[in-house]
Amino acid sequence: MTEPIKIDVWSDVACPWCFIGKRKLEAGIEQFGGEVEVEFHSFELSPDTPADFAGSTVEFLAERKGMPKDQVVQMLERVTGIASAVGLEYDFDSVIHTKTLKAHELLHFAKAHGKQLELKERLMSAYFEQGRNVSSPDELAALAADVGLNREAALSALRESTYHDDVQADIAQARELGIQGVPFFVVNGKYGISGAQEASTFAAALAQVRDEEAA
Amino acid sequence: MSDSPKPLTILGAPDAEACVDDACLIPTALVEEIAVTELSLLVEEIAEGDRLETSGS
Repeated sequence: MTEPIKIDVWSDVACPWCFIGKRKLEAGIEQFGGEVEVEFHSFELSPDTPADFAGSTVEFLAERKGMPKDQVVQMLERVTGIASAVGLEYDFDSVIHTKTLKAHELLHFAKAHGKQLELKERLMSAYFEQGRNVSSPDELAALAADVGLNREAALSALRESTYHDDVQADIAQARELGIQGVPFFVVNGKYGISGAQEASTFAAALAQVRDEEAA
Repeated sequence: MSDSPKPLTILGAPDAEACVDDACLIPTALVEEIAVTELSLLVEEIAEGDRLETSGS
């Protein structure tokens, strides 16, 4: 019996291409048809975002980059269309743009309890499709409970920053690997795949790794 | 993942869309355009400052 192929994924909860890339990876794994193990790692795209930022994504990008709001709106419409093509319903009007450190801590809590994949999906959907606040410990604990994690234990881990160092270790490892953008996929610690690639690219990479392992 | 990673062999299209910071929705070409605009404004500000200084002296 062969070992499953391991895919380590660096991504951020608030990264629109990461959610799209996740869907394409899932489709690629299905096309591949073999056994694959996926593990997510933390990457904070904008660590200086205030957790209490009160504006929308449009306001944040317009203020940060000095871009005309209508241009930002146009770009959001484009990514919303691409997300829609892979079955995601992005709603940037309701997105609460915020810091994602606590969400990453919760993902490590979920990993320790065998629910990381479920929580990753829940958090990304909560952020992009449902306008939930993914920096609020109470809201995060409720999302943890949605995937079967203990709400009180999750809240306690968030309040005590139990997994803060694990998040930083992931970010440090990304730096060591030379990862500058997300999503970034590492297959069996050997191959790197950057960005929201087509499903067929993931399937081909997995087939290549399987063939090499079998040789 | 091991503690000391080996260099990775990169697969896939080089232009797949990804986020490098909070401006990940902005295409690269546009980011470059903004940078050039900001630089132009800075040059104009410096020139204006020089003009004021010259006329004041």
